[in-house]
Amino acid sequence: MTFAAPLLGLAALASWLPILWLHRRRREAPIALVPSLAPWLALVAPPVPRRRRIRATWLLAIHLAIAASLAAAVARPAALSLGPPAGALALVMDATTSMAAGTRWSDAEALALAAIDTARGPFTLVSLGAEPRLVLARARASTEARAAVARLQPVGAGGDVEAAIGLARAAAGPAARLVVVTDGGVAGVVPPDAAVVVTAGGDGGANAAVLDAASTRDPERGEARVTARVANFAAEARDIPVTLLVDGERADQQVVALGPRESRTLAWRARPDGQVAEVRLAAGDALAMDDVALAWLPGRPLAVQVVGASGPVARALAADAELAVEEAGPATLRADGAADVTVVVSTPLGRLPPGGILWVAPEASDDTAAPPTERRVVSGGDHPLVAGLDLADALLGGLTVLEAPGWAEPILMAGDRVAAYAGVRDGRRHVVLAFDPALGDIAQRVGFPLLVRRAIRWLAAPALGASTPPLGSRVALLAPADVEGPGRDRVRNARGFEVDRPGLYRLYRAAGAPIAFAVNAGDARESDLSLRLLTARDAARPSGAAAGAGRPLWRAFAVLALLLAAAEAAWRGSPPRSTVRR
Amino acid sequence: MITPPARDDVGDTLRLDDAFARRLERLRLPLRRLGHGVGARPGARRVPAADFIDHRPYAPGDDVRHIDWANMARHDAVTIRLGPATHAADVRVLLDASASMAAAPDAWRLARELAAALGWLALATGDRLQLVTAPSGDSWGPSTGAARGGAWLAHVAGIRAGGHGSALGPSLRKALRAAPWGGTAFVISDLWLSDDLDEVLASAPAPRWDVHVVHVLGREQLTPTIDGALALTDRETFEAIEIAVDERVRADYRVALDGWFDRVQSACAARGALWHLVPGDIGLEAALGPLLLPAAQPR
Repeated sequence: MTFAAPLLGLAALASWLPILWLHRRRREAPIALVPSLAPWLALVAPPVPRRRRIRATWLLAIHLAIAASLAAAVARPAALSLGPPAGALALVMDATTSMAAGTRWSDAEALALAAIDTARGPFTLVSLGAEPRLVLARARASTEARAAVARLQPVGAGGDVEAAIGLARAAAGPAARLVVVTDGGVAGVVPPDAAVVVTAGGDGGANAAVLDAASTRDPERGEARVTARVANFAAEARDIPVTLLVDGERADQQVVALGPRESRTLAWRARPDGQVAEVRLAAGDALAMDDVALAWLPGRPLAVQVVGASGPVARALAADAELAVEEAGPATLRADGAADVTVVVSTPLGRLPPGGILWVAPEASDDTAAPPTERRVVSGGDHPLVAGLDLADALLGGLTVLEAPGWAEPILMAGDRVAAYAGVRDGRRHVVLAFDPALGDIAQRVGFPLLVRRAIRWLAAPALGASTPPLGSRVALLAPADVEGPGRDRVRNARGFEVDRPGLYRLYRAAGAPIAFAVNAGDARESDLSLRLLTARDAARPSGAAAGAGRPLWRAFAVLALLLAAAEAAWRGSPPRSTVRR
Repeated sequence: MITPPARDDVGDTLRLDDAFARRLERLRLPLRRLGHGVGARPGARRVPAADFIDHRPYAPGDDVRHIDWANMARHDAVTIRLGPATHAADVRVLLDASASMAAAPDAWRLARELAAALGWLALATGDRLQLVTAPSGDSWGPSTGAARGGAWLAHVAGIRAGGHGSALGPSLRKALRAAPWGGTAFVISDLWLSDDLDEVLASAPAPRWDVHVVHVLGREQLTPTIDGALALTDRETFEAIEIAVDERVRADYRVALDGWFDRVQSACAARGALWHLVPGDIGLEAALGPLLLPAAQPR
C-alpha cells in the first residue's frame, strides 16, 4: 500500500490531539452500579434517552480509530497493483546507487517479493546496475527467486533500463509478465505492457554528495593535489561540512556553502607521503554512500623506458611530470618489471619486457606492410585514446601500415590506411603509432603529446583499462592477478572481480607494481534523488500501467470510519438487553 | 449461626454453628400441606403404630406387635393401637441469583444464608427439599434426610450470582413441576424482575402451594446514601442514566420504593402468597423469625 498524499494524511492525523485533549478534559460522572434502574427512572424528568455506557478507554480508542481511518483516507492510499496473477515473471530490479536511499531498497524488495508471490513461475531476475545482469533465469521455485532478490545490493551508477528489459525478455520469453521495480531514476523506454513500480520511500531530495575525487602529483613542490567535486541536490542552499582525511587523519575541515542544486570543486594540498585521501561530507542525508569519496595519492611516477630515439616522442614524455623516463638499448632493456611501459622507436626487439609497449614507427610486418607514404589524418575516431584530441588534417609521414591486425583496433585513420592502432596480444597491451612523428606536422599539433600521455597510461594499467571501473561493474582481467577489495579480502589468481562496493581496490600482478584504485559511489545522476525520469513519462502513458499506483483505497478507509462511528452510535443508542419492570 | 463468608459474594463454604443449629431445630417450617410418601410429619390418617392415639378391633393380618395387651386384659377384647400416619412435606426454595443480587452484597449473603437455613431445617425434619436457582434454572434435589445437610450447604455455598436475565417464572415452574400435589415454596429474591410478579405467583396457585416471597434488599437499596452526579448503571443490563442525587432525590426514591412495596404486597396478597421484606443487614436469625414457627406450636 502506498499513499499519494502522505503529508495530508499526517496533517489529518493531527486531529488526534484535540480528541485526546477533549477526552482528557471530559469529566465523566463516576459509575455507581445499582441492582436496577427501575426506582430511579421515575425520578428523572423528563425521561432521559436510554443509552448504553461505553468505557472511556474504549470510547477513546474508537474515536482515535475513526480519526486514523479518516486521515488514511485523506492521504489517498492505494494498493500497489502488479497486475493480475501471471505465470512467468520477468523482474527487472533497479539496483543503482540511488535505490540505497532511505527505504527505497526495502520497499523495492517488498514490491519484488509481492510480484513473485503473484506469479506462478518460472522466474527471471535481471539486476539493473551499471550494466544489466541476468541474476536468475527461468527458475521454477519462487523461493529461489526470493533468495535471489535478497542477495541483490543497490550499487552502481547508470542503468540502461532498455538493455535490462531486453535481457529479461530474452531470458524469460515474450509471454512473461514484465515488472520493473525502480525509483524512477533510470533512463530509457519501457514497453507499454510492463508494470513499472516506482518506489517512493526515502525521497531524499536534500541529498548532498561527493561526486568524484582525484589526486595529482606536483613534482616541483613535492606535494600531492587532491580535488573533489561536492554537490548539493537540495532545492535550498545548504552549509555542508567537508572533511579531508589523509590516511585516516584529518588534514582539513571546512564548511562549504552550496546553493540549490549547485556543485563546486574543492582542492587541497596533501603531504607527499600519504597514500589515501578521503573526502567526507557531514550531510546526514538519505543516501550516505555518496557522502564519501576516496582517492589514491599518486606514489612513484610511472616508469617508462625508451628504446630508440624520437625527438617528438621524447618531448612528449618529458612534458609529462608524472613519468620517470629512462633510456635503454636492446641490450640494456629492463625485463624485471621495474618499467611500467616500454617505448620502442623503430627498433626490433627479440624479447619483449613486461608491461605495455608503445611502438613508434615500427617496421611493418609482411601482411600489413606497404611502401612508406604521407597522408593526412581523416578520422580521429571515438576510441578513448584519441577521443576529443585535435588531430584532424595532421600530416603523417612514414606511414607503413595498410590495416590493423586482427587483435587490434584502429584508433587513427589516414585515408585508407591505419595510422595507429591499439589492442591486446598475448596478455599484453600494445599501442602502435604506424608513422614517424618526426615527419609531417603531427608533432606540432597539441593533440600529439596528449595522445602519447593517454597511450602511456592505458599501457600502464593493462588490467583495468584507461579508466577506473565504475561501481557495480565486473572487471575481466587479461592475466590472473590477486585482487584485494575494500573489505581487505583478497582473491588469489582471479580472472575477474566485481566492483560491488565503494572503496579501495588493489591488484597484485605477477610482475610489476600493484595497481590500486578507488571506486566511489558519488554520481551526478544517482545522487540526485529527486530524479524521476520514468515517473514523468509513465504518467503520460495512456495505459498508465501501474506506475506506482493501484486500486485506490480511500473509500475503504472512509467507510471504515463511518462504520466505526455507526457502531458506536448503535451501541450507545440500542435498547438495553432486557426491559426493567417493577 | 451460619458462618459469614470471607468474600463479598459469600465464600465457598457454609456451615452451621452448633448453638444456632440447636436453636434452629426448636423451630419448624410453616408447612400446611403434606405431600406423598413417608416422612416425619403426622397426618390425619391413623395407622397401627407405637404412638397411641386410638384403638380399633384386631383384624386378621394386623401386626401382632401393635396389639394393646393391657387393653385386652382389661376389656377382654383384642385391639390394635393406632397412631398417626407420618408424611413428608415438599419444600421448594427458589433462589434469585441474577446479577442484580450481586450488586447488593449484604442482601446476597443473607439470601444464601436464608436458603441454607430453610433447606437445612427441611432436611432435618425429613421433608423433601428442592432448590432451583434463577435465572439459570440449576436445581438441587429433591432430596430428603438430615444426612444430606452437608451436601446441601456445599451446594448453596457454590452458587454465584451474576447470570444473565432476571426472570423467575421459568425457574419457579421447574421447581414446582416435581410436586403437583403442592407444598411450600420460598421465593428468595430482590424482585428486580424482567417478568411480571403476578405471572410468577400464578404458577404456584393457592391453596395447593403456600408461597413465601422473601424480598431481600440491601441496605443501600432501601436507604441509599449515594450523593452527587453519578452515572447509575444497571448491574444486569448496563443501561446507564446520569443523575444528580441529593437529599430530595433520595427522599423521592424512598417514596417510590414504598409505592413499589405496596404493589408487590398487593400482588402477593392477590395470589395468596406471604410477602416478607428482609433488609440485607438485619442478620439471619432476625430474618428467619417471621418465616418459622416454634416447634411446639400446634398446627
